Amino acid sequence: MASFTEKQAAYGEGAALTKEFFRAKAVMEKAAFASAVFRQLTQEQVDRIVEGVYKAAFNHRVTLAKMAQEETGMGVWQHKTLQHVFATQILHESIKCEKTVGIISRDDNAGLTEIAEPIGPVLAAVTDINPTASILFTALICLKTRNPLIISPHPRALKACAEAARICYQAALEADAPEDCIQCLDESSRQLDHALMTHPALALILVMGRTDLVETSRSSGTPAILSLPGHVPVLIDVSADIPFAVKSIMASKTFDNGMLLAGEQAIVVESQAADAVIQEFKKQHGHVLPPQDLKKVEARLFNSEDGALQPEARGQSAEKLAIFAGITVPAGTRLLLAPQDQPGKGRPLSGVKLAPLIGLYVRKDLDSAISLCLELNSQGSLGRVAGIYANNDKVVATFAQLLNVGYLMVNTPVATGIAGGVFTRLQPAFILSSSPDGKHVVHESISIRQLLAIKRICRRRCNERWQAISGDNYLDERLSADDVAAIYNRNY
Amino acid sequence: MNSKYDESGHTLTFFFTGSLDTLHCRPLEGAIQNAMDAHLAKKTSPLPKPLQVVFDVKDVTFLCSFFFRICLSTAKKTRKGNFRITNASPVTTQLLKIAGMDMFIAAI
Repeated sequence: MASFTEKQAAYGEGAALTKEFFRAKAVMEKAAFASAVFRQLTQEQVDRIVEGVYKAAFNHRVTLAKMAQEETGMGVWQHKTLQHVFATQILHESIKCEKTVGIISRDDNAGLTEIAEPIGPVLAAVTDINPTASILFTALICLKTRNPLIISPHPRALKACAEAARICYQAALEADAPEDCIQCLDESSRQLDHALMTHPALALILVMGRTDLVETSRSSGTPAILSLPGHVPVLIDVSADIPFAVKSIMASKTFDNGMLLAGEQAIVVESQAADAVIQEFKKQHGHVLPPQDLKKVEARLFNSEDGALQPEARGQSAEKLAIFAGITVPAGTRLLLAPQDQPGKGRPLSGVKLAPLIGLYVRKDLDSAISLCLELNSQGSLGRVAGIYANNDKVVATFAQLLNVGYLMVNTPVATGIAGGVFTRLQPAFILSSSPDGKHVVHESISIRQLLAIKRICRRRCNERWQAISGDNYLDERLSADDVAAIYNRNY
Repeated sequence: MNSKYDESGHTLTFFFTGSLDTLHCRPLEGAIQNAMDAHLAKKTSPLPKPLQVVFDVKDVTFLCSFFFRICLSTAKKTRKGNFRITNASPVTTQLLKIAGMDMFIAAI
């Protein structure tokens, strides 16, 4: 097997020596230097850097939000500001006391000591959905774990990404962070991304909402964590507090005009509660689309070939969506509800919609409602999150057992709750591992823990039961597993 | 930083001590260049033996990016195989490996 040095030396062999190749090589060289310097810093030095960057980023929370909204033309700047608060203050509160350098835990009784080491340079491919918040978040978790960060910006958010990265990098340098600890590419290019992703010195790829980079990252040979838009079904059980459930869904799905990757995509309700749910949505400025308008919305807001939401419609308000679709909605409408019979191909409204537009399904009973959620869950990225509003623990337990999700949010807004730290006690995180096929190494939110290489020193602590049992018992095939277990567990 | 030639006059060794942070590395770059230029100016025969440059990092406690850049630029200026880093402690060896410079470390 080739050593790391040999792999580095061989990097580029057989590859076209394009300008992207040399660019990637130069970027990775700087990142490798930064990585080496970073390793020499103490916990106090690291914490000072993180605090400096958090404060600088927090102080620019409004400017960056306006920049991102203006450049991408999507979302709501006030909501983006709140995302920045989450990605800085709330995150910092949760990590500031965490140990990430040297010995992070020691259990003399068990003879175990854990030592934290950085994993190495991290490449973050940032989406245009929440570009600046993603950068602030990844910058802080990378700095806290002493990993250099390379940012690959989205082509629709180049300026905002560059500014967010500049603010973080400048603050980091002022706090004596290593040179090039944060690098932001000034262009977005598939070839450059590929050249970086295949570089042997790169430790990890974070693909944040970039469905276009799934294959490139997976075939690169570098570990990759994908965080992609997923289909999030939300079940409203008959036992739910309906006004509360509707209020919660409204707030969550309309946040940043429905741009959060883990946002609710479909509401499934039992027929017994359907009328009450629909009336409550209307009361709270939801608009249920009549059949004639559904066709217009499908035809004008979705791509007829792949069924994806048109880029111009992403992250627009409900009233703007109505204008694009050529339909009339009551003034002040905040959310469009699209009644659907079945999900599936050829039904774009049943797919993933990063906009204040949500599918609405009515099923005759709980079993068929859960079955539908299972089907919806398998559309889009798997293994993310689902929601349920219920005051019946048995229903919650059944739902949790059947759905292939990393998190099930109970009586909690999904899009804004899954990030943790506000509506739940989950560790604040902006990256939720997911993939198109449900295959992933980590089935959880990504924060500092996943960016550390934990070494374990294991001291001799013998198992008394193992020592007490005679080896002859294992060699005697007449003894069954139960016989041996009885001897093994004998407590004299 | 100190420097000295070996008896043959073809190996120039630089001895580094303490913390090599950006502040300390900045003047080193010029000093190393001057020493190398002085050697080239001294050459008398038409085909002189190439200059070998050695960085002795025995007493180094901290390395910054600037130092890595000096290593790279020095390696480029000398002919292939004529730049080495010696007396690297295990910690320094690890850092040089991470920085992708372990090919310059002299065999232990």
